[in-house]
Amino acid sequence: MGMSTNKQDKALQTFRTNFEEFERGLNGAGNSAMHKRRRAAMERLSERGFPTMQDEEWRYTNLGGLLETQFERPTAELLPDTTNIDPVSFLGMEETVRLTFIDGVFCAELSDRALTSDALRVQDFASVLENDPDLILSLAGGIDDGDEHPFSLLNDAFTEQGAVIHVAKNATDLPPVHLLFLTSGGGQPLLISPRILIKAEANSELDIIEQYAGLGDGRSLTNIVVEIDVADNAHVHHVKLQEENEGAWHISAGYARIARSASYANHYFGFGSRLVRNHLHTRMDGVGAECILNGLFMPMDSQHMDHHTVIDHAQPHCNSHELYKGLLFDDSRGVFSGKIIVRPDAQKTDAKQANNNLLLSGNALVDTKPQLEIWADDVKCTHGATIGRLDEDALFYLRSRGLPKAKANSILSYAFASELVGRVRLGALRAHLDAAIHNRLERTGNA
Amino acid sequence: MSTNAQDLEKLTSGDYKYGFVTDIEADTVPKGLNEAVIRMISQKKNEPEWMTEWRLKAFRMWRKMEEPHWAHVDFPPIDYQDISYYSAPKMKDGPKSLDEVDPELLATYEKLGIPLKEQELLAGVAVDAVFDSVSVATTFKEKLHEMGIIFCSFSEAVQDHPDLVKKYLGSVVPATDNFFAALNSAVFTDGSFVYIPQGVRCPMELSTYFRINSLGTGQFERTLIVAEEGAYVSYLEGCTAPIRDENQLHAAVVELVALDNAEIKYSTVQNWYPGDKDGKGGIYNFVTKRGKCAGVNSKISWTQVETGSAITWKYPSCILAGDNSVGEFYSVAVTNNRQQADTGTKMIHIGKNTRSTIVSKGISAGYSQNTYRGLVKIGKNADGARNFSQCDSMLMGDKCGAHTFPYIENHNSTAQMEHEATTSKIGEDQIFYCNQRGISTEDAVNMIVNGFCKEVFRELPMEFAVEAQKLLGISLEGSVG
Repeated sequence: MGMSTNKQDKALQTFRTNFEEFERGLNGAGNSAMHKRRRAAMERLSERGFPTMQDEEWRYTNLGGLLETQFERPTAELLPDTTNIDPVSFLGMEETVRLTFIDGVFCAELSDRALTSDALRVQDFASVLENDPDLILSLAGGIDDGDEHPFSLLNDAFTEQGAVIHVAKNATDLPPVHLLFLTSGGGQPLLISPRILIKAEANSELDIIEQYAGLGDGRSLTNIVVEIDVADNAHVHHVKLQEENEGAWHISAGYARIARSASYANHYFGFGSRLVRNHLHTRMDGVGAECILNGLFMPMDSQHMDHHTVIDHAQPHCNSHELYKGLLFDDSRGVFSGKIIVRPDAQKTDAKQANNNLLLSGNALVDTKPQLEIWADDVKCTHGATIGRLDEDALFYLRSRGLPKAKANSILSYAFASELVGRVRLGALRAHLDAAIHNRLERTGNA
Repeated sequence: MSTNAQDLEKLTSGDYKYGFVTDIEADTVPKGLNEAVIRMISQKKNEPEWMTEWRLKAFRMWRKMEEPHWAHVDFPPIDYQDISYYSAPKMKDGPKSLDEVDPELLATYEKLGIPLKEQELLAGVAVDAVFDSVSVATTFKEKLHEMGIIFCSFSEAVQDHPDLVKKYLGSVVPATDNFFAALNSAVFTDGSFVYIPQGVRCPMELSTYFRINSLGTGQFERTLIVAEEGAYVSYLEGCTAPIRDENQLHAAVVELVALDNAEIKYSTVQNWYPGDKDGKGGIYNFVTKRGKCAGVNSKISWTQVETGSAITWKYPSCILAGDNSVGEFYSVAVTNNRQQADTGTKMIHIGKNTRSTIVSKGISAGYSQNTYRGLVKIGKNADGARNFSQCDSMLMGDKCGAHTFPYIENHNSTAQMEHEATTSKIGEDQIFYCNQRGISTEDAVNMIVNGFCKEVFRELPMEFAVEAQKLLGISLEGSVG
């Protein structure tokens, strides 16, 4: 079913009103190059409109509720009291460089930049924009994806906060960077539009953790764009934890460019939000590049989690490995759409993609769409997708040994999910993830 | 480039050697499509009023529809008003004897091992009455009639069995299902009708071979097959040999209905003119094929070997409505030169314990594009549904493309579904291994490709399978048979 144009118009009007208010508050900065970009994005979004279920890339995700909500851009007055927040508690990792954002706005008190250096510069977007706007313009907007993912345009239009991370050439053994986004909730529904820019120079290595968590149960739209540039022979390990409350809509777009002999790994773990739409687009732009995309999503109640990935093999001798797993409870819904493109010159490509889904309830739904688009001949490409429930024989085996049903469910579900935890290289993070998975199994009555 | 790669390129860049004649006089209605033309077609065929109305209804809906463009194919816009929608070729316009037929065409028939009499039929040679009266087909028809099996042209069915046609026509593919189905519903000229009564097992493979002497395959063909309770039929469509055909746009509709415990096996070999090496000419094959397993324990199995046509756009589907019903789809699609194929299947699981199997093998060579597009949908009430899908692609040459777009939609947690796909090329080490044992590169490629397609070929009726293997060799190599 298509969305009425009326609803579209109203939603666009809401965002335009916010945009005009945003413009008025800019004073002198309204003519800057940055703001011209914002205005152009707002105009393109108005022309393109929001996607409907008629759009092939959005056919399984209904944005009706989101577009009916009157969002407001957070301002300083709307921010909650931060005195009782312990930022370390969200991840339990001490030795990190941490930037904390509350409702998308940088919060210096809850951040910790003691471990930054010339080798690892971690700055908040707003201050870079003030001091070195050219840096931002050079790093942002490398990929234009507005047709498929119009929310990137929405982020572009409201970009003012976020993080800019720069890793110097040859820099390794750096502390992990932790970006903590807290959503306050309560009060007016908020429009949160962080932008994250990451540049890893040649031969460097970076661990980055992007975490979203909720403080209350109010409604919000987190609409993120992350752009990552991995230079020759550099390695970026990226973990994203999505633990927002169930009043949040979470929409994100990640774009990574991977240069010669470089690697980029993205590990995604989704637990929170009422509706998630992740769009991850990686492009291997140099010979011998590698891309690893792993994902685990465990929706419950009526959560809806939609994951779209595009892996673009633009050069020869590149490898990609993708594994997405869904464990679905209650009335939840999961979507996976993964596309592998192998360009005409990308000979000797090795691409593997798998999507496995486990339904733990009779009402959970999964739609999966693994796709291969191959224009070169000397390649090895495979994809696989499965949907099923827990193996009856395995359950019987465990129960015959005296385990109650819920416990048997829990053991098998954990075994299914833990494969992805094992692929994360930071030990402290693995402990956090194990706890999160067990917590989810307990909450759904499988413990 | 290594010698092997060069050989491979030489093998796959061959011309379509048969060619076909286009200048043929025919009994034709004026170009263009409007209600008057449809009434004229209906009148020429002496159809009852309800049939005319059915066509007109489809036409009125078609006018409101837009030509779809979601498939992974490219073609210049089609002017639907520039097509003549009724053309009954006059037999006397064909070649008088095999001596007048293009020797290349005959050579191909020879390679495929087609008997002389059948060669005449296929090449469109006017068949003399003596041959016709003693034809195998006539003998078979009598035998079928004794068993109560109806196997006739669609036009005859409309005249002789209007109740059956009325009951089942459009019950699986509604007149307004999609743009091309609506067009077909409005203007279809002929096709086949098969009815297998309760409990009857059709003793032979039914094939369009039997009918081809009396009417040419139409541009807008319509096939309807009904298998009553406990009935079984195996139907063969098309043939491995290239058939002369003067129409560029083909929009056929095939409907299958299987009632309780019935089984329908539908095999297709499609080898229409694919256009020349630069993609000029060639058939656009936009087909809607769908089967409905309406009864419990029913089964519908599609097997297709697609080597011809400039553009192939077809998705033989199964609606698994009856409990325990089974749907199968086995496909080999080969594209060479500038051919484009976007093909696959839909398995719609509605009943409980329904099962489906999809095995699709795509081979692309030259500059061709070969796409698998499929949907497996498990409905809310389809408890215990099971699906297995396998889509393998093979690439020959670095300018072609192979794409896989499966859609899997599961609305039932007790369902179990698996999908896997691979894309690769013929390994140089495989060819080297064969060469080293004295097998020429040509034979090695043939052997490897046939091995790749084995799973599908073994689903074909015996004689068909042998021919299909040969056809594959011809399609890919152009010069090797």
